[in-house]
Amino acid sequence: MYVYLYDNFLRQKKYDSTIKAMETRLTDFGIAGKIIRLQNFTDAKAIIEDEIKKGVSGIIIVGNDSTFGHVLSRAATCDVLFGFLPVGSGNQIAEVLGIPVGVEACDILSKRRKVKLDVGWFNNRYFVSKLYIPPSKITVEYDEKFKVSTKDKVELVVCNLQPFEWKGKGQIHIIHPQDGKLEAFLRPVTGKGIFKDKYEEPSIFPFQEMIVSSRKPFTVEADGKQSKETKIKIKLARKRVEMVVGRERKF
Amino acid sequence: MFQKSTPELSNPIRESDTKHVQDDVETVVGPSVKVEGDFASEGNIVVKGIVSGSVKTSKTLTVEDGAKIFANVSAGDAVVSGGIRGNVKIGGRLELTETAQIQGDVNCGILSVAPGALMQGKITMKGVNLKDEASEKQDKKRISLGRTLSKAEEEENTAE
Repeated sequence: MYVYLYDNFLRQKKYDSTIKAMETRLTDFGIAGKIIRLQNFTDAKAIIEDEIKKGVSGIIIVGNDSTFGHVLSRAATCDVLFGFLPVGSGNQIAEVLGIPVGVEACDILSKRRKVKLDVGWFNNRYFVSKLYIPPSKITVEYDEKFKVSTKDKVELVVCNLQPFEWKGKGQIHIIHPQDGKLEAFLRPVTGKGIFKDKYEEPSIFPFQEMIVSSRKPFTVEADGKQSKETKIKIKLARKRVEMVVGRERKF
Repeated sequence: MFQKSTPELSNPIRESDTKHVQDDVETVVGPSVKVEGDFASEGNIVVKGIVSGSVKTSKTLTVEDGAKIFANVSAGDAVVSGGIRGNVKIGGRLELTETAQIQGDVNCGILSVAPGALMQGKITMKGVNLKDEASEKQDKKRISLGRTLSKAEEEENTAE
């Protein structure tokens, strides 16, 4: 039996027809199940653990990248099969997983093509899509082998599943998801413009373990959740989450 | 008389505005980034900044103009437009452009040096085989002496 976690934004009327069509398709496939609506203050992990005790065979996330990150960053430790039904805009992870947006995602779910995904880990928390540090004066040490430093502030993005694009010079940096490494993008700040900071072209470092430190606390944002740290250790957790994926996945 | 003209494409294929970064380039060290330590990668490396320590890859190392490496370098192939102070070991092709500067010993399979490139050190490449008549004769003598000596030793051993 599957349990479906619906994001709160799906209450909007514009998604009614899509949700109804999806529910009909799931019933046709014989995989309809219990629906739980997530709120901002809902503890997804507690809900999932409760359902596992009741014997659920799969947890299906219904929403967008934000929903995906919100649920899995907390529930990655749960030993259960996860699925994803992307709805609406803000769905880049679905493309990486080979899952089409909308009703067609139900077909992928019915096929149950399972894969174990790598996830990122930092300071006792998992992150699935990406980790972001806004421009700060930080030092980065990779794999205990080499250090990277810059003269001034630097912006750091660590990507796991979320495809990465830094617009400006029209360049798209293609990451390689699930290749056994995380990708770190460092973009030093070179000066201040009238409206925003000026950045240099990014440096790219694939790694398995990284320590980011600074004398002053810096903001860390991972899968929508923010915190202030002075030192963080970022690692790759191999094959941590079992997920239903599509044939057209990017790995 | 009135021939059908071949219809032209109404939307000719245009070059995309967004250029994709080479997706085979794995590691990039930006212009104002400084790397200290043993820097190794399994894929291609592009250095635009400063690296102190050692640099190692089995694929292609690109050192751009203005970049500096103060380290021993080991790579499959390399294209150097910046500066390297250290020993350079390249399994395949080493290409030095006009702005390249290398201060250290170089060991490579194929070497290409553009006019203007600067090098200071020993260059070692496999496959060099230049001998004059006198040294060839000496080599032959050594080989034949070696054979007769080994024959004499064998006869002694059998006699014993």
